[in-house]
Amino acid sequence: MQLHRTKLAYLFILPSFFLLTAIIFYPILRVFYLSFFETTAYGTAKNFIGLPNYLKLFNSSIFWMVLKNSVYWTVGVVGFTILVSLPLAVALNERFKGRKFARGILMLPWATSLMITGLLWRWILNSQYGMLNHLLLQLHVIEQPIYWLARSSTSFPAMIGVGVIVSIPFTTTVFLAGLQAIPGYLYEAAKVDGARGWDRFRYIALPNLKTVFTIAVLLNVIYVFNSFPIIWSITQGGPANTTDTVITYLYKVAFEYSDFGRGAALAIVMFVILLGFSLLYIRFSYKEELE
Amino acid sequence: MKRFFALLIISMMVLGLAIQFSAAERTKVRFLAPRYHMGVTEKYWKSMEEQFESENPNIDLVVEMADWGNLHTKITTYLAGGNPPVLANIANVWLPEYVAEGQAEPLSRYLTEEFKNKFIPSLLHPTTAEALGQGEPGEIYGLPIAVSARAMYYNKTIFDKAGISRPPVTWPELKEVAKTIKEKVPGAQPFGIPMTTWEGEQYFAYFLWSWGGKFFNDEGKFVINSPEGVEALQFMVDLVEEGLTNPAPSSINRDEMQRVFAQGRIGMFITGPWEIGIIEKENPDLNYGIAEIPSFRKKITGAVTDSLIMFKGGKNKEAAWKFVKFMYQKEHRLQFDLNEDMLPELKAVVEPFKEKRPELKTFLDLLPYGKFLPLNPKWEEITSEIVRQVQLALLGKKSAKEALEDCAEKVNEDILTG
Repeated sequence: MQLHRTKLAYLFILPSFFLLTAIIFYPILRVFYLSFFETTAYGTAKNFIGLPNYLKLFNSSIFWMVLKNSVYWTVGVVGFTILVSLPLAVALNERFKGRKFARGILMLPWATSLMITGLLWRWILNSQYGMLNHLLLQLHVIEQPIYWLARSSTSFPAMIGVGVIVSIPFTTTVFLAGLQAIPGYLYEAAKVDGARGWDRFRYIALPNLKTVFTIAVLLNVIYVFNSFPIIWSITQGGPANTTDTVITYLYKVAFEYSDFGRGAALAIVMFVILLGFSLLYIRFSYKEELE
Repeated sequence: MKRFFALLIISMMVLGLAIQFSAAERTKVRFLAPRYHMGVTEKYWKSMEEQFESENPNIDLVVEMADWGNLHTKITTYLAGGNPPVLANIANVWLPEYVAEGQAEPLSRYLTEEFKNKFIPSLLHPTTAEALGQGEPGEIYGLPIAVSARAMYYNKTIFDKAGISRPPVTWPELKEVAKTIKEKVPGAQPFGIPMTTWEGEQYFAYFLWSWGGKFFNDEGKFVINSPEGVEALQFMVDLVEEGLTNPAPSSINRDEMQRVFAQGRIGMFITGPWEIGIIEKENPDLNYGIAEIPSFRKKITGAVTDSLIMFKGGKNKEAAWKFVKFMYQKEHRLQFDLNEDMLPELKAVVEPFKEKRPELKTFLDLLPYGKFLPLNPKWEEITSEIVRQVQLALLGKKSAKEALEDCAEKVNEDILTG
């Protein structure tokens, strides 16, 4: 009986296994293979060359700058998102009039395509005719228009802001789910013991959110590190690659410079980094399951 | 009810198959066409498609529209997937890449002498194997479509306010004019420099060529760091540092700047004939003039031809060529050139074009001084390195000399060799 059930289970898994092989495992292996080759401009392998694609990357200053940018971008977006989302989730977990409406509004940025959000912000941040400068000038906050996208020192923070806005809905939802999973009797017991708002948060909500918190951070790190549309639609990595992250640079190397070998090597580097975070994620979500 | 739906679905499937079969009878010709003027190009090709198909009912012409910004990527993706369109309208600077990779179809077997003679001879040169430095000797890989030259637009209202009566003829003179504008017309940006990967290299080229510099020497070495190049870039840097330009050249691309000029906020700015159409649409009251690009050691303009090419991997080449012949008829090309503010490439179009567009005279006059961007299979990557280094110099992060030295080193030792 047991054996029969296992067989049946394999049978059910089989279709998805084939699907995953075709659309995930095969491309990954293919990219791995390509990264050791000199390629034609359209991505077919020409000659086996071994490591030079990787060496070229590690020897180029742009690669290290881009990697640093990725870290900056990821830490910035994920950090601020968590800082904003946690209090927001706590607030939305309280009962108040218009809560449903507030939750609905929160979801809005999530419902919009990232490319559209990015393009909108590009217009808003435009130094010559953008909304933001117009507003700041009208309010006399600034005297001269600010050239937001001219330097990475202003364009990066601006883009991180956009990244935070679009990451909040998901993160808040995760926290909210975590908060709602906390059994009500814990709060009631605490109330009996005389715990107030902050104490309830500090001693009940926070410890119970630990796993959810870790998972939210890890998932966000994976999404954000990988995120292409916002940066691409706002600065395309410019000026002078100073706002390129690994993924936008990868796109340029492969599809604009038609160097698929080096692009593949870059993709593998990224794959390894993200694999690390994915493994951490699996560990944490399994731990929860085991408990 | 259930049976009704089953019947409905079956009949729809049968119908679908029938439609597929009837479509299969027509020969499909895919043509990838980028937009020049938003909204105009689509309409033009749509009407060409209708006319052509009514003359050739057994051919199904499929026009795919694309934006210039992602056209190169789109083609790369098609080629990588082994499914390119048979015809494509491309920027000629990409042609060496397609020829080097064996993707462009040689056209001499289709081209009759008579057909060839319709074109202005010099405009056929940029698509030959000789000019491309690639391919079989004597072969030709494309036909000119959308020819343009660049000139300098100037805002007459701003000039009047500053008390300047005529546009500058040399670069040093331009600098003086810009200083006067800065002094007397607060709020105006004297000279516009858009420096992004969208044609930033072209803007730098106006300076490089005026100073007598070159991108490549005759031996094929990248020599942007010549004394002429450094001097030219230094001149740009000075313009920016003295506040005679838009304050952040690397944050605005050519297309955005075209609109800002149309709004009347820029004194002088170099671009192509299509700016006339943009001004017409955005701010028809703008009082402006068109002058030659200032010279220094040389009088130049940037000339650009876009090309119509055939991809080897495309299907139904004979039918596609029928469309090419149909398209290059005098009245069709005149219409295209007038629509898009492009200059004629057919001999027969020149006179009627001059009659209809006297305001484009400056561009036509400048065309003999036209210089083309170099043709190199790695041009896209080289371009982004040029723009990157020029940006660094304009941002004040590197000296002009350092920037161009680094650029030459990267191109010669990395991009061209790898």
